[in-house]
Amino acid sequence: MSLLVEGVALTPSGRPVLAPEELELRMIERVDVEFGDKRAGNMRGGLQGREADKYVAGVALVTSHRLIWLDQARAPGTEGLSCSVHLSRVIEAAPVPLKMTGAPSSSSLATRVPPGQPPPPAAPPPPAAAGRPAAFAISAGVGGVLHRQHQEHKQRQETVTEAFTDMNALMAKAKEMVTLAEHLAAVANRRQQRGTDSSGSDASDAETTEMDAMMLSMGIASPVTRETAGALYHQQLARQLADWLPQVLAKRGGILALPDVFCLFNRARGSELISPEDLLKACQLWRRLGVPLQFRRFESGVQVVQSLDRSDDEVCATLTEMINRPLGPSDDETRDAMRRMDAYSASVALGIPPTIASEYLLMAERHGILCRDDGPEATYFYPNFFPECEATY
Amino acid sequence: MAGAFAFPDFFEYPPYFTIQPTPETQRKQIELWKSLILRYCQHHKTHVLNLEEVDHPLFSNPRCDRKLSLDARRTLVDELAKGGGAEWLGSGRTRCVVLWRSVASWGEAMHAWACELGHQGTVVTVGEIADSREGPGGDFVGVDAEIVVRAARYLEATGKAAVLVGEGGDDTGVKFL
Repeated sequence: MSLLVEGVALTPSGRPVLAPEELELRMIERVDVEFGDKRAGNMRGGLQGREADKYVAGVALVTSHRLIWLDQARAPGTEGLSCSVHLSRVIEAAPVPLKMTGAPSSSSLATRVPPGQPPPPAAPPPPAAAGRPAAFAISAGVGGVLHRQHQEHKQRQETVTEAFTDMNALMAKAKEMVTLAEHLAAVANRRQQRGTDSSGSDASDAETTEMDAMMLSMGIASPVTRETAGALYHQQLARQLADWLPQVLAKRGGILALPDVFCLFNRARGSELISPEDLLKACQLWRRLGVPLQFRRFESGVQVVQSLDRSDDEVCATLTEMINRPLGPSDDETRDAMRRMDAYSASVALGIPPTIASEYLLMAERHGILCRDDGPEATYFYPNFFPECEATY
Repeated sequence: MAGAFAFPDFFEYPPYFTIQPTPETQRKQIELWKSLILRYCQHHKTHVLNLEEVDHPLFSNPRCDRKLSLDARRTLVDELAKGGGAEWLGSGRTRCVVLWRSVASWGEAMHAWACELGHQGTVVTVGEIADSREGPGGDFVGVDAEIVVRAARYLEATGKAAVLVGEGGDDTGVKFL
């Protein structure tokens, strides 16, 4: 008989999609999974139909709900052999051991899981108490440390609970708030999906904007921290950032300066703040992780993040279109004033900060689309007329 | 006197007065400027430019309130000099002679002028040549002394004249052969 486990849905950046209220507790890298008892020799396991495959050198993740193993050898954009065991299946009395061994240290997690199929996905989630460490049979190493920490934490929790019974009411409210935030997020997502199919009415647009503002302040439910991710901290941070950023970029002209990302990301995280260096390291990891975002440094040193599909050519085309737009009858300004752009007017037109707009203008200049006029009051950019002029006029 | 010089359309565009940083654009811009300087000087029969003349009509456009900086003017003269279109006067890099005809062409014109006026075998000073208002029409009459000196050296090199340097700076003589 073999031990069948569930698959795991992954985000585009390769982090597991967490259930509502699910929190990451601990992450260990280079972990092999062993289904059943090696000495008995007759047990096998894994994903349905993939029992014969080797589950080696992955990343193990303990959440409040599940034990997750992420396949690190998977092809980009696929789940590979990534699998999970719901903690409700983890019981001491079950006959089949499931071992996760981290190399090269002796850190390992061993637990027992009843053999057979995973429960149907419609099964109700377990009470939060199912995540208690009593359900684990933990051998040694990092697992042991985790176990001890968890016990200590529980003790402290009890002391605090006794001392501040009043806080319980507040906690209950906080839980309600989290549920509300998640509900709003779901609604906004549905709205967005509908929005892409057909352009919604103005009223629903306004609602969505309000919802976005609310969501932004609600933030990230399970922020990656040094404590939970350990050695994988920067990598996981990079992935979480990559999952969170696209919705923010979409509202801000597709590009953000790094300091803005720092502020917005920390605001979304709320309490588990990250340092500027952590952010920089996370951004620099994107290229290696193959996430659909790019981190770039303009020649002036301004650092930005932007989506991978936002090409310089596209921006150049937009600028060309803007600067060659025919004059409207309502424009009483001189012809001169309309045909030129400075960083400020470009930033207004593109919906991006002036520092970045200025970089785009310089880029378009390098591409030969614009040319400059270092006027006495400011530098203005004009359509590049030079190629069309004849030296023998 | 010559009529008003027709400036090209791009003379009205402010970016024309900023040296462009993008190499491709800058190359074209300098081409346009070189051509404009030669045409302007030819039209006004100007041979010497003083780059320190801030509001020189060639380098400034009051209509769009732009003028070329001294550095930019020097860049243009340097570029013009590479092709033999200009030569610096002195070491200050503020004055230059603009050669909208080549030195050889000026030499031949001066020789034709001397033959016409019967100066062969006689010595004429550079000042006299430059001040001369007689002779066959065309560009040569009223030419600057700087051009006369260069043309005379050319004729000396080709054996059509001898340059006689006097004691003072002014009375350099040319003996046409």
